[in-house]
Amino acid sequence: MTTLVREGRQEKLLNILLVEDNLIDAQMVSHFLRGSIESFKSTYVSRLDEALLILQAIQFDVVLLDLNLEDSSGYATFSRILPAASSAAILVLTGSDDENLAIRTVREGAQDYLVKGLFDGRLLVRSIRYAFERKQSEEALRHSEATVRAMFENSLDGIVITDDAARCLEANSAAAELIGLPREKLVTASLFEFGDDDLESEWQRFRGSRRGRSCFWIRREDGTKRFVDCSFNAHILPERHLVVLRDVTEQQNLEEQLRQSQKMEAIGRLAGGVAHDFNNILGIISGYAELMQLNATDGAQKVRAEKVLAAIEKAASLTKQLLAFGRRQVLSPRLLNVFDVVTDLGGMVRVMVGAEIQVTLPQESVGMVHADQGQLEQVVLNLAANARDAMPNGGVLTIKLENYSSDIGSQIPSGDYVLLSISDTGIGMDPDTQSRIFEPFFSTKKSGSGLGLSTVYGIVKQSGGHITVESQLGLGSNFNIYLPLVATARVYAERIPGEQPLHMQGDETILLVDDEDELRNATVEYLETCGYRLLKARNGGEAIQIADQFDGKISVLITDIVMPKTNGRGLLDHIRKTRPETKVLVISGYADDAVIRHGIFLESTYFLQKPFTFQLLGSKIRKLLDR
Amino acid sequence: MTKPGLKQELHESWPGEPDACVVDMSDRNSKFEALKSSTFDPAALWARLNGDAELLRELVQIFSREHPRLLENIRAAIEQGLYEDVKKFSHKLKGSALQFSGSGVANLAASLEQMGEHRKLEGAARVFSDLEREVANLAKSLHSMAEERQAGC
Repeated sequence: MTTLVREGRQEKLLNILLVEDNLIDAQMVSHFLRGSIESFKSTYVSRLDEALLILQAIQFDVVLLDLNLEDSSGYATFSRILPAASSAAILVLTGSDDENLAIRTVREGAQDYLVKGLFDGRLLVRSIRYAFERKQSEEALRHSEATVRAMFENSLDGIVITDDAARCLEANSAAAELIGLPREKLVTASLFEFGDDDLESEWQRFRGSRRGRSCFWIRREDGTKRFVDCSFNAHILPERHLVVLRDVTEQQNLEEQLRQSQKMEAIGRLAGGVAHDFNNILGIISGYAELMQLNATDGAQKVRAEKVLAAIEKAASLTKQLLAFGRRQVLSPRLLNVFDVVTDLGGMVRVMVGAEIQVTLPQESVGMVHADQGQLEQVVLNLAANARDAMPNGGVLTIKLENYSSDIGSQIPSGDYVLLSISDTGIGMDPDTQSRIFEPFFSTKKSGSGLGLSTVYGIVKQSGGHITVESQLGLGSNFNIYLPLVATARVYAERIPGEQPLHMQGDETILLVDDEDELRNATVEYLETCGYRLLKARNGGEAIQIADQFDGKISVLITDIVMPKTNGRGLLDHIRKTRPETKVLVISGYADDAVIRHGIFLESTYFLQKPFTFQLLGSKIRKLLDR
Repeated sequence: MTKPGLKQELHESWPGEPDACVVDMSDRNSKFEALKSSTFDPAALWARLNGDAELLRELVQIFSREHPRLLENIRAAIEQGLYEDVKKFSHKLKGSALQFSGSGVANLAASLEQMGEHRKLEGAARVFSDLEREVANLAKSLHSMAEERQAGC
């Protein structure tokens, strides 16, 4: 842009094209321009075709246009030059009887018109300057409008302009998609038709505060609901309000899932804590009941003690369920016959899936696997629940078992497996869904937690196995679980604890550590009855002190894990360093992941979960000592 | 004189910036009275030209060159019944007359332009005859005014 500095102000040198076939008019206009103190550079042509040609090569700021030329006349002259001079301000020069035509050109985009014979140099120059400035303003406005329109049309958020009554006057496509209405139907509709019941009062609050933000549910035309974060700006123009709607349904769902998950976690912790304390109490009751049983002087006393012990067993069963709910149960993989597990679950599966679904169970036993029975049951139940949800109108749920050998090149690492297949004849899944089903919190169900299949996946992986899924929309789904084969069913003979008397006597020295005084005292009394010599401590620190001061051999350390002051882990580390020959038996009502968090690797031989019977305790101790 | 061609700046068509000849209008107004008529307003023309005698002289020269050809074009178009040409050349003459505040010529030219517009040339020859006379009067008045203004400088 060329600028001239004149009398302290900057002016743009305006490039003017004069299109005029009357030499007198042309000369007069030219003279006016030359004589002006304004800065003009003018070019003159007498024909429209010449004007169109030069406009292709040069960008003019202003076009002075006579409508009646040798090669064009009237409105046609204007309409032909308008697209070629779209960036220039057009000033029409007209005869006195052409004013209606001139006014029409102004409506269509000319900046102004001047009637020949009625303007002098000052009016011409002022009109040119004003026309140019108006054009500049219009261009700036047009650019601004184009920018705003592009943002409006391409925004991922729904944008709605409403009147005072929340009626939509304008809406972008994102708003129409969010609300689930065609755009033409959304315009003229009221926002109240889609918002929840509180929206109307929210609206009044918005209008009072001029701007605000709120979250609410929107009911879509198809019956579904979306949760929106709404930003509101009142009176962006008189009686015009801006409403921006952001769909945060997924975020809301995730937050809700997280809240639910945190709630379950909290309940689990509470349940686990209660179970722990309750187990300790049960342990005390159980201990004294056993002592009563041992010391009974007549049959009636013994029977009473046995009844107390039976009641304790039921109570212990309840606490175990609480621990399971809190996912704090001890993981105890053992050799399992999958056939027995699945067969035993058959009744529960049938009840769970309902009468409309036919359940087929395996008929023959296959190999053994090393797994946690509770977890394996959870796998079967989760997949059965999944199959039920995929067959709302009934169908067939098939659970199959077979021995499977995987070769190199298979998607399953080579080896021998027990293959557990659970298939349904339900709605099936598309490939995209199949690729995500094991992700935590992914769910295609309205009320699903999204944790069922991810739990299955975790359990299978934890058990050293593999899981695959095959599915097709409308043709059902099939989950294959490959668990490493440990032994064949024929060679395995499960050793069931018999009724044979347990050998529990001994004279070795045992260091017993438990912060529950009553339980510790009862245990000491029982073990002393068996012949052992007892050292007792209330916590880890006290136990370390006793162990360090004791000169003799300590054969067994029996200790709780979660204790005040020095905990079980610290005590174990110390004993393993100072008395590596001492065998350790961990007892805990909190066993579970709290134990695992303390970094202690457990085998069933070295762990006893509270509450336990003294008989079992005595048996464990003897096994440890005799090993 | 032919019209300037494409991309030729108008400035170049009229070489040399003339020396401005600024006249005290109050002194001159009395002299316009002799030229004023119902069809010509010399005071309005003088005001529009901002008292520029040189510009007046140039415009009168152009008019003197152009109007015979324009009149001839109008006459031929009337005789041959060429409505568009009658309209076009009459419009052009009207525009020039308006710039000179020559309402008589402008009105007659406008009448012929309308006849061409409506494709009805009855009476056009008579109007044209009046137009010729009025153009001659205007040209004479303009020459007188230009000479007087020139002399006044």
